[in-house]
Amino acid sequence: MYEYVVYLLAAAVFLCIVRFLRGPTLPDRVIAIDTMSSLVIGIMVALSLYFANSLFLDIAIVYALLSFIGNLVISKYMMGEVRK
Amino acid sequence: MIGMGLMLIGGMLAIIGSFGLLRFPDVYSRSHAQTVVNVGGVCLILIGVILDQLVSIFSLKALFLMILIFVTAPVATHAITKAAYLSGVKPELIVVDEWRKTRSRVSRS
Repeated sequence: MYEYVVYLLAAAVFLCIVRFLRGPTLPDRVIAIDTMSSLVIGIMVALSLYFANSLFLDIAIVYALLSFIGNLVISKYMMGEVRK
Repeated sequence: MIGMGLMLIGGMLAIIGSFGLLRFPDVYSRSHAQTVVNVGGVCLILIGVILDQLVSIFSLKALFLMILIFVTAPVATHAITKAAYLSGVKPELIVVDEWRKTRSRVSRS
């Protein structure tokens, strides 16, 4: 029953990959990567219920923190591009 | 049963948000569609997990993950859109741009 949630989120990840390949500027690609990381967090939550294993939720927490820090670093890089 | 229905509605909202990410014409409106995926999709899936497994370790970790997403997702979206504006991406669906006037006044003084 839980695998249908994984199918829906995988279809959403496919749409985000199309936006990542077609994005005209750099922030479009960054927003697509951020959305894909959120969807991967949702896939991990659904897989933790599918396998009945709560270690997937720990990995999801660490993945959320790492994607947040990566987004902040990339946005600081894009702002520092201007001031030169 | 209610938790399973909420998880399926969350998956539908994730597909709708990703379709908006594909169809919107601008960076800023695309960040609006990204918020639908973050809050409407993933947090609704986490609420479904909490209602599905009532009192267990799954509910505790899902509650912590939901609080974490509610705190970090607006900060990340705000930082990316501010960096997009400062790196020269022009907003298309806009009537008045007030931040440009403020920035020029600050840079003159």
